Amino acid sequence: MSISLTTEPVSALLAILALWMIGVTQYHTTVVLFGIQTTIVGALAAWIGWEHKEPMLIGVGAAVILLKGIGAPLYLSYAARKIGCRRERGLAIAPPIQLFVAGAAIALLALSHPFRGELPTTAMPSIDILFLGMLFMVTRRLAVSQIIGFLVLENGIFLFTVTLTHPMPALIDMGVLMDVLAGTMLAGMLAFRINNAFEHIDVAQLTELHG
Amino acid sequence: MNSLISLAVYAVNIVFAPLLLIGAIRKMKAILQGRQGPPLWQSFLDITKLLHKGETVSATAYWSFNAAPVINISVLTAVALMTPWLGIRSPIAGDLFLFGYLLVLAKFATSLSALDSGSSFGAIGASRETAISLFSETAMIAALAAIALHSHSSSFSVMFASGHRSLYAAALSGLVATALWMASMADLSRMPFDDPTTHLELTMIHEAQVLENSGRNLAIVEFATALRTVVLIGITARVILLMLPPLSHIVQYLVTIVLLALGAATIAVCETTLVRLRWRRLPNLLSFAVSAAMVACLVAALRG
Repeated sequence: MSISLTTEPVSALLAILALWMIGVTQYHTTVVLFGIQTTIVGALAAWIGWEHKEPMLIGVGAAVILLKGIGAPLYLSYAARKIGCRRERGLAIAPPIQLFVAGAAIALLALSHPFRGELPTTAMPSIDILFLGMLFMVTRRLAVSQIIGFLVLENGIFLFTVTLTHPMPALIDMGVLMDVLAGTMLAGMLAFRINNAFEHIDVAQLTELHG
Repeated sequence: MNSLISLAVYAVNIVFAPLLLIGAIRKMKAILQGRQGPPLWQSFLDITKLLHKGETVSATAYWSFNAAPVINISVLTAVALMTPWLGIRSPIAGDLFLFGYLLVLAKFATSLSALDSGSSFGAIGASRETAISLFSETAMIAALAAIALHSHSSSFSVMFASGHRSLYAAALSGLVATALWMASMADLSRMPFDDPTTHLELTMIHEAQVLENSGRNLAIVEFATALRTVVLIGITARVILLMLPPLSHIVQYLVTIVLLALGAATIAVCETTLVRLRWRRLPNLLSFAVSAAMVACLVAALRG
C-alpha cells in the first residue's frame, strides 16, 4: 500500500489545525475545531480505504466521522453547557508562548527527521498531532478541555496507523475507537461528578479539601 | 510588459486608489450600519480642505516633527513603486528586506514625531504601536520570507514571477495570506487590534501618534496611511493570486482590483461586527499570525 500524493498535504493540514487549537481558549471554538479535524481524519481513512479497495477501512472512516467527529463534540459541548464553562480560566503556559514552543518543536522534529527511511512522510504530522494533543492536555485546567486534548492525541495515533505502509487490521482500529468513545463518555460523567462535588472543574484546585 | 506602461499604471493608482479605498471602507461601513454615509470621493475633499488650513505646531517640537510626514510620504511612495501591489510587475525592482526596512523607517519617523510633540498621548501611542509592531513585523517578514524561500530569491520580481503549481504551493499561499492579513490589520491599526475612528485617549493607538498634526501635515499623514493600507492589502492580494493559474497582465490587474474591494468589504464587516480586543489579548491574536508565518516557512523549507 503506497502513500498517495494527497495524503501528505491533508496530514499537514491536520497538524496545522491541531496547532491552531493550541492557541484557542474559547471552549466552544476548541470543540468545533476538534470536530473539523476528526471529520477530516475520518474522511481521509475512508478515502484511503476506497483507493485500496478495503471496505472495512471505509467503514472505520464512516464510524470515526459519525461517532467521534459529530457525536463526541455534541456530547462534550452539551456537557460544557450543563456545567456552565465557556472559557479557560488561565492556562499553565500562556497561549502565545505555547504556540511558539509547539511551532519550534514541530520545526525541530521536521528538520531533524529522526525516522528517515523507516517511516513514511505522513508519520511526521501524526507525531506532531500526538505531541500537540499532549501539550493541550497538560496545559489546560478545565477537565472537559483535557478530554479534548486526549481525543486530539488519539486522532494522531489513528492517523499514524491509517497512513502506515502496512496498516493495522481494521478490527483493531474499530476496537480502539470504541475504547476511546467509552473513555470520553466516562470522562464526561466524571466531569459532571467533579462539578457536583466541587462546584467547578478546575483540576488545579482539586487538591483542596472540602468539608 | 513595458515598464513605461507599468509606471503609468502605478502612478495613476498611487494617486487615486488609496483615498478611494478609504472612501469605500467608510461608505460600506455606513451602509452596514444603516446610515447613508459620505460619498466615495469624500476623502479627496477632506485632504483638499486640510491643505488649505493653517497649522498649529507645539512649542516644544523640534524639526523632526515636521519632517516625519515628509519622510512618511516619500518612503511610502518608494515602497508603493517597488511592491507589486497591483498584481502586475512594479516599475522599480523591489526586495523583501528593503520593503520591510522602509516600512519600519516610516513607522519610526511617526513614533519619533509623536514623542517630539511633547504630548503625553503621543508617547502612549508611540509605545503601544512599537510594542504591536514587534509581532506584526515579525509575522509580515516571516510570511514573505516563506515565499522567498519557495522561489529561492528575495527579489519581488522573482518571488511573484509566476503562479506556482503544486498543492503545497497553494497551501503555502493560503498560510502566508492569512499571516499577512492579520499582520497588516495590526500594522494599520484596524479593527480587532485598534479602532481607527476612536479618539478616546486611553484606547487609541495609531491616532494618538498623529493627534498633534494639523493642516498640511495632517493631510500628508492621512494620505500616507491610506497608501500604506492599499499597499499592504495589495500585497496580500498578490499572494492570493499565486494560488490561481497564471493569467494575462490585464486580468491580473482586474482580479487585484476586485480583491482590494473585497479587502475593503472585509474591513468594513469586521469594523461593524467585531469589538476591539483588550490590549493584553493582542499578543495572543498576533501569535497566530507569527506561527502561521513560521509554519509557512517550515513548509517552504521542507517542500520548496
